[in-house]
Amino acid sequence: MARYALLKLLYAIPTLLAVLVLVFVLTRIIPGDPAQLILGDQATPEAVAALRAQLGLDKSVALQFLDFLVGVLHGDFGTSIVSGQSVVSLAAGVLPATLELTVASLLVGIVFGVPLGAWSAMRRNRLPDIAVRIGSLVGLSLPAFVFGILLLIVFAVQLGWFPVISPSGEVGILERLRALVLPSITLGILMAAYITRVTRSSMLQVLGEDFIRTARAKGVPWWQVVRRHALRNAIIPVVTVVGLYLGVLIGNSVLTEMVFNRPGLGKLIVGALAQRDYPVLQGLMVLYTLLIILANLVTDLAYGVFNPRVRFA
Amino acid sequence: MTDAPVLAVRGLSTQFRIGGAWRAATRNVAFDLFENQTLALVGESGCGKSITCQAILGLLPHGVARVEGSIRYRGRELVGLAEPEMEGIRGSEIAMIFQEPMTALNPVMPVGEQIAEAILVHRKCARAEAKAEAIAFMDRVRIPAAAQRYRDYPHQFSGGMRQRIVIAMAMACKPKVLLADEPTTALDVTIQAQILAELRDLCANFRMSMVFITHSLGVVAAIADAVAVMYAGEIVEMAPVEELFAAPKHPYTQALFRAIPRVDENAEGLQPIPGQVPPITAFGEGCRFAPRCPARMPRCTGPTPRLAGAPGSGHAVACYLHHSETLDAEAAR
Repeated sequence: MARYALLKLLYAIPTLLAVLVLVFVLTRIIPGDPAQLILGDQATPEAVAALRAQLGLDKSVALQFLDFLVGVLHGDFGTSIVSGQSVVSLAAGVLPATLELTVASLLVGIVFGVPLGAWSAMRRNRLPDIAVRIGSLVGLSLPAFVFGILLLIVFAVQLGWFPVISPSGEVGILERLRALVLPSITLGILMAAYITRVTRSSMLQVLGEDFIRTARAKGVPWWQVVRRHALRNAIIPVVTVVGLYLGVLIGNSVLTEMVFNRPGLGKLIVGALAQRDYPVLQGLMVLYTLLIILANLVTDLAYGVFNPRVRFA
Repeated sequence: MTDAPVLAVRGLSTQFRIGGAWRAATRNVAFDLFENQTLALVGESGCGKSITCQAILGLLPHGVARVEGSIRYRGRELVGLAEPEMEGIRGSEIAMIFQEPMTALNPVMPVGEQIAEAILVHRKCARAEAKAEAIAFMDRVRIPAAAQRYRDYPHQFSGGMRQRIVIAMAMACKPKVLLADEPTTALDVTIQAQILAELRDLCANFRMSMVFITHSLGVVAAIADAVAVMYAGEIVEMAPVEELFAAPKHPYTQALFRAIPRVDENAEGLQPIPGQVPPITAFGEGCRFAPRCPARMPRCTGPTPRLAGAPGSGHAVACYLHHSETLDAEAAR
């Protein structure tokens, strides 16, 4: 197991390098001179040249990349042009909020997706199955900004059960959780819909396998066959899908944070984009990539836990 | 073996819903299984052997399949028995082993736990006790280093070893009846002989009865006390094993024997049976073997011949060629 984990960790390194190159190139090919942008139209050429030198933009592209790489390796993701704060301290302030939202949405996805999918498979082509299938289709088709706003109108504005705008600053844990409900449902419904579909089809396949019949021939009660034999096998493809869509989930969190006006990496990155704060943009992109790589790593490890055939391979 | 049968099957008909209509996959199957006896069910693929066994255990899917007739286990009627009671019988009284050892085990559960599960389902006992017993059974079916391999997964075992585990699992509750559905077909010949010896041993030691499904007459000779030959969902001939091998009566049984290759004869002596088993949707009245039968008579397509034999002989056949004998015997009584 340790060997398997180490191997997966090694595989992450080239991915990360590739992303660093991509992010670096992307920020370099954005038209316009950052120094000019920072100083504005009225700046003298001398001032621009001085700033260029200060930002290291007068060096060769290769050297610039090296600087960037060394910075990242030292945990230095650059400094905001707008606020002068380091990207790391900016991100660290809002990272908990984003992680909180992502994990809560993932839980929503699993808690709703797996049982619904399994139930649907066991009532194949009957009313519950049809209802679940239609429901998951709706879940897949609803964009976060539509579904989130709908939830806000009904449960926050009309019924007043949940806050419309997430409270910022220090609040009690209960208040924090209450503010998390609508955003995590908004973000989690897509995950739930995917998980439902994958669980259903994987469950249908597993229920037809020989070992299900073997378990039944042993006299194991049906619900126990489902839980202990069918579900434990059916969950393996679900883990794969969760891993694949974790990236999508993290990406979608940007939109959800905007809809609910929650502090988070998403709001930070959109703000940076609006203000042309390139170092922040660049740093956050690297950070997002790190998050996604980490998520995939956890998925791979989880896969090993659920599937003994991988563990020993 | 003169006592009441452990398992008595009468008029067993298994129907499947195919395209909206109910079609009988087996018709009027009847046999007795006595204590410590091995009955072989023989026949071509698709003749209803496996379905008969799954019907006995109530494993056929509800809604798609229905079972009529009577299956009595030690006097207790199993047809129509409620699911929870059937679960009490499965594994503990009547167990089953399957053809494909590669897929019959749960791939994500350690093999030892799968054996222990069979014990825990039927008996209130500590997990450790079930584990010890599971290891003892793994040992019993000659799995090397059983205790160390308790936590190993199915993919870490060879086909023969997996089949031993499946057998250990079926034996875990010391059932009275074992239904073995072609347990050696997927294995190579040397392993096949080992598994057969293992099963013979277990039957003798636990005074267990066995229904052994196979399409190989060689395997029948090695393991069975009695044989029931099935064709297209019906038993066409039933006899003690020596008698069937000495004097097969039904033209289908005779044809099966002619289709066995022998080393002391030319391959030209090998006679395949022309034609195929009719599909389930084409089962009609009359003898179902008639279209392929070399000794077909006009009456064969009339009413279905019933399985009958001279009283006391234990040799019964469902064929009009032999019905005069049977009728004479009945008249003489």
